Parts: sequence; C-alpha cells; structure tokens
Amino acid sequence: MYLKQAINSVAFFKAIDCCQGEVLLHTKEKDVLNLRSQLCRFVFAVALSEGSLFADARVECSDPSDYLLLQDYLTA
Amino acid sequence: MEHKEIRIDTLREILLKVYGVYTTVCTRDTFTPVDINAPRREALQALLYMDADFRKTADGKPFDREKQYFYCNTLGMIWLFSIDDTRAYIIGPAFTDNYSMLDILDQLDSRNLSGPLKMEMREFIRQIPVISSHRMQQYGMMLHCCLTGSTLTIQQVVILNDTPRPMPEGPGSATISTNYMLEKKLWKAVREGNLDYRKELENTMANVTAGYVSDGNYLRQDKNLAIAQVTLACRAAMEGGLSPEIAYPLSDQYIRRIEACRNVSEVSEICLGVLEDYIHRVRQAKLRSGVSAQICECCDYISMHPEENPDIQKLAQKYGYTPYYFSKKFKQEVGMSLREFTTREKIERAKVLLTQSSLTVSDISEMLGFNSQSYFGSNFRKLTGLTPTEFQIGLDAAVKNDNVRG
Repeated sequence: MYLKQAINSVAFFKAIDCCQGEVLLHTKEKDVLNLRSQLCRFVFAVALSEGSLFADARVECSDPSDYLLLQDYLTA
Repeated sequence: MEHKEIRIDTLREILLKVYGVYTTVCTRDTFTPVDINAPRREALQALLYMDADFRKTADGKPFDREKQYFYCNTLGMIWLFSIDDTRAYIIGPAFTDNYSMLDILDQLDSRNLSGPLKMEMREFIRQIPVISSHRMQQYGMMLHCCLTGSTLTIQQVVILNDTPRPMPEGPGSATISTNYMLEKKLWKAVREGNLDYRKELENTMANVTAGYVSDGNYLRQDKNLAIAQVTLACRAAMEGGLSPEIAYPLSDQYIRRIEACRNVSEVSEICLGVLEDYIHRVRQAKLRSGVSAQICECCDYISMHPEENPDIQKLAQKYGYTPYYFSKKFKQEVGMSLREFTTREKIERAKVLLTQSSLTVSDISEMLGFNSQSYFGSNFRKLTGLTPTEFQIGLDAAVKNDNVRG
C-alpha cells in the first residue's frame, strides 16, 4: 500500500498508535522508517512537510489487520 | 486591534526577529493552530503533538489562564504556553541544550538515512533554536505579562511531561542563580526554616541570570547549578540546626537523583523539592531545639516585613504574654533582643535594595523605617563594617572586576 499525498501527520500517528504490529515506511531512496519510533516520526513529519521526499512511499504493516486502521491514509 | 493583541504581536515579532524563537497561536479549546510564525509549519505542529497529548493537565483539570505550562518531549525539545479566553499562545520549540540537538543528529547518522533525507533533517534541526531553560522562563514571563498585565510567579508555572506524574505541591519550575545577594536571602530562609522562601526564590528567578558552568550543554549546566544548590542548602540547613547525620545523606540522595535526570524539567522539579525539604527539616529541628512556635512565627513575620517597627505590646498581647516576659523569652530563644533582631533584618533587606534597585540611600532609610539617614548609616556600619554607599560602590567594583575578568 502507498502513502497518500497531503495527509495530516498528527492524525496519522494517532491511527498508528492503534495498530497492533509494526508500521514501516519504505521510500524510493531506500530509507526505512519504523513509524512507532519517536525519532522516525520526527523524520517523517519533517520530510512530509517537504513534499517530494515521500512520493511513492510504501507502507508495510506487520499485522495485516492494521491496514484497515490506516485506510484513510493509504492507497493501493 | 485591542491593546493585548498588539502586545502579543509585538512580543512574537521580537521573539522571532531578535531571538529566532517561533510562536504559535491556537484555539483554546482544541489547540488548532491559527497562526504559526515559522517555516515548515506542518512539521513543527506535528512535533508538538506527536509525543503525547499535552492538551490536558496531568490531573485532568482544564487549563488555567492564571498559570503557564511547560512541555518537554522525548526528543528534548521544550515549549511553553499560556491561555486566555479564546486562544492558547505557544512559544517554541527550542532545544534546552546542545546535547539534545547533537544527540538527535547522532541518532539520525546511525540510521544511515539517504542523502536527501539526511540533508533535510539537518537543515530542519538547525532551524530550532537552543535556549536555556532560564531564558525560556523569561520569555514565559513576558508572555504572561502581555496577556494578563501581571507578573508570573513560580507557583503559577506547571510542568507538563510526556509521562504523566504527580506535580509537586507549591512552586513550579526554577533555576537557581548565582547572584550573591539574592542567594544569601534564599539560604537565610533555609537557615531559619522560613517557609516563606518562595518570595525570595521568585525574586531570584526574576532578577538574575546564572553564569555558564558547563561547556554549552544546558542540561549539564542545570545539573551543575542544581548540585551546587543542594550543597549550599545542605550547609545552610546544618547552620540552621539540622543534624549532619540527616543533612549529608539527604544531599547525597538528591545529587544522585539529579545525575539521573533526563531533561531540565526533571532537574527543576528536584530543585524545588530540595528547598522545601531542607526548610521543613530545619523548621522541625528548630521547633524541637527549644525555639517556640510563637517566636518562630514572630521571627518569620519580622523577616518578611522588616520595614515595620514591631510593637512589643501588640506582639506580647498576640501571644498571650506580658511585654516583659515576651522580651525575655525572645532574647532567650533567639539569642538577641527583638530590637537587635529587627535591625539586623532591616540591614539585610537594605543590602538587597542597595544592590538590586535604583533607590537612593535616603529612600531606603525611609522605606525601612529608620528615623534618620544617619541612624540607618550607623546601624549599617555597625553590622557590615561599611557605610551604605561604600557597600554599594564596593559591590559595583566587584561586579565590574568580574566582568573584566569574564
């Protein structure tokens, strides 16, 4: 699943807090951010505000049921 | 535009253009940003909200417009805010020490981020100012004054942490300064077990700036100052009658706790607990050592109001004694007469006024209730060995010498 553009990162983090498993973000530049980590959230928030860094970024949930919780922020 | 809005806008402009500090105006109810005067607004907003929901107090009570709130996230960034009827005004973020900033950069380096992301992060982090907690407190005082027109006292400061925990009773955050005269007043309060020390602490907070006692690391700076405070409080408490068997182990315990602190908020909380703890213990020791509660109370009152010339008739009547017996009891327990004690307190206050205010010797003499300036001068010289003017000049010279050396 891919990350939608122009999402609200604060709301996205809240949704991730409800997830059961790990939530990883893979970027085109081969960066991998674990979005449960505060430091990675910091990187995510900063990079998201820049815009182009997360174009075509892929989100991977270790627990498949978590995709449902994040559906507002993801696209196929 | 209302006067208050003009004051707030001016403060925000100054903080941004002079100090590089960002501010945010939010709605009071939901903390939805209305105006952020910073680049990368979305990122700054996310930073503020990503750790924990600071938008409620630890005890669940609504925010109080008479108070000011400090919030520190797990990455070592700090914000402070105050509210009015409709808005919340946030100052920050800022790093309180270089160490936090460098630590984040190190952590990012260890994650092997790609070139563009690493550059982006470095650029962003460098836009966040490094400001000591003491300086943040001063900005907070300015904000409170703009909103309410009144001075912020330390009892009005609340520290919100990412991990909820019970707030200490009494005063909020404080950094102990190295200002000699005000420090002396503070340690005097500890020696005397005077619970009204908060006034001196507020005075210290509002008027002085601590020297640098670390190499650019503000957490270390606050820890060093806190350890110095514990050491001095311990010595003052022993001079006040607290047993060394109690005072020294207590000091060791506090220093260990300070060393274990992860951020400046934790250090500040411990600092306030130290003073309260030692003062209570000294007070208890005094009560046990033969100084009666009435005399303690009487001394506290005189210390707080040295400008009043105590009326022995009224004091004796208040405590149910004859004037003769009260005088005798006072001298027996305190070791000096009521008049001598009052004069000593007046002179102590005069020392502070001479060095911390623009009042003339004549003004101070009159303010402290001396019958004449010459009588004030002779009492001052008797207790300090200097005339008020010599004292003032001597201190000025010492300050100038220090500045030259620094």
